[in-house]
Parts: sequence; structure tokens; C-alpha cells
Amino acid sequence: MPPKILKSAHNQASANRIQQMGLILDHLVDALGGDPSAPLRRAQILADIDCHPDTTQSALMDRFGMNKSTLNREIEWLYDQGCILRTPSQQDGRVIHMSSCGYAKKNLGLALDYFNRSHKNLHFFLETLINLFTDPKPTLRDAKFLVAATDMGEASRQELFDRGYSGANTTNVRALDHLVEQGLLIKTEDENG
Amino acid sequence: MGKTFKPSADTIRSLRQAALSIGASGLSISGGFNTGTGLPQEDISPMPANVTPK
Repeated sequence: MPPKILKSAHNQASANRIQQMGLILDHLVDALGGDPSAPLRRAQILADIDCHPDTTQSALMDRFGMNKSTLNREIEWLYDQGCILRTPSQQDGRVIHMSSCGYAKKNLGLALDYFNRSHKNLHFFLETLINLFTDPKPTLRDAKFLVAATDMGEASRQELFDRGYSGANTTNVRALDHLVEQGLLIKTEDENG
Repeated sequence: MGKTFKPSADTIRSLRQAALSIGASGLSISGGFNTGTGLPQEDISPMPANVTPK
């Protein structure tokens, strides 16, 4: 039987900080349409838009230092999934203002509860995670595996899958193997292996 | 059980660093900690803290 998994923000007071990180990632997955394959950077962009209502693409580019096409893809994804609203500027029709909305805003708010509602702290949290990876686009699934492994100290593949997100087995296997390749997880053989 | 997985030292160190932002207010993104919030450390063993509050 898998260990008891903390599922709700209501448990945040009783969870240790590593477990809280897992709960935060869960809320971010929920904020991004329930997609654990979403890049951590996408969560950071959503949080930035939430922090700066009516922000523009050029302002986002300035804050993130990302190229326009990469940022455009993320904005399009967020818009298509109903995470953000886009409103043309009344002064300049070429300028689009963006704001977080709906389930994305609600679930992002649950994640922010862990940071005393500080977007800056959430940004730092995500930036620290992103910088850990050598992969240019680490996902929320990747981060959840690392958090689960750290919480358990040492775990079997199945135990990590139980603590991770549902999805195709091949997706989870590939993600786990890639974490080993990056040196973020160390694979060992136990005495029965 | 077969193969097992454990986090590398870098992973533990970085997660510990990230965890410092949880529950903190007024955290400086540049790396300093300006609130002295007294974040508990004992639940993120075994790595020692490498970042100390100002």
C-alpha cells in the first residue's frame, strides 16, 4: 500500500516543507489545466501575469528576458487553456493586455497561500527549481519526482510513480530516466536487485 | 525491490533552497533574506543549511 499522500492545501499546516513543495506543485498542475507535463517556466509566466494584471507581452519579455516566439507559444497555450484573458488596448490596438482568470487564478491562489501570497517568493521557488535542471524545459512532473524522492530518501520506481502524477507509464519512465541522466536522481541496486 | 532512486546532493541542496521561500515574506530574489523569519530547517534533513538569514 502506498504511503499516505497529502492531497489538499488543508494539510499544509501538518506537512513538512518538502511535502508542502509537493502540494504546491499539485496546485500549479491544477492551475495549468491539470497538465503535469507543463514546463515550470509556464507556471512562472502565469504567476507573473497574475502578479501584474493587464500586463503586456513586451513587459513580460522585459521581465523574463525570453525571446518573443518562445514567450508567444506560452501565452497562446495559456490563452487556449482558459488560464488568461486577453484584451486589446483602447489606446493602441496592437497592444494586448493579459490577466489571469478562472480556474488558473483560483488554483494559483492556493499555491500562493504557501508563500504568504507573495508572488516574489513563488517566483523564487520556481526559479530555484528551474535552475536545478540541465534540461531547458523541466516540467512539473519532473519536479514532483524530485520532491517525492527527497521526501522518501530512497524509493523504488513504483513508489515514485505512486507519488507522481497519473499518465502513461512510458511518460513516467522516460521522465525518471531523464532525471537520472541529468544526475538529479541516483539509481542504485538494492541487495535483492 | 530491485532498483531504487535517491536524490543527489545537488537536488537536496536546491530543494532546500527553494523551500526557504515557503511561508517567507519579503524574500529577496537576489539571494538575501531580509526578514529573519526563522524558517524551520529540521524537516529538510540531511543536508546542512547553506543559506543563512541575515
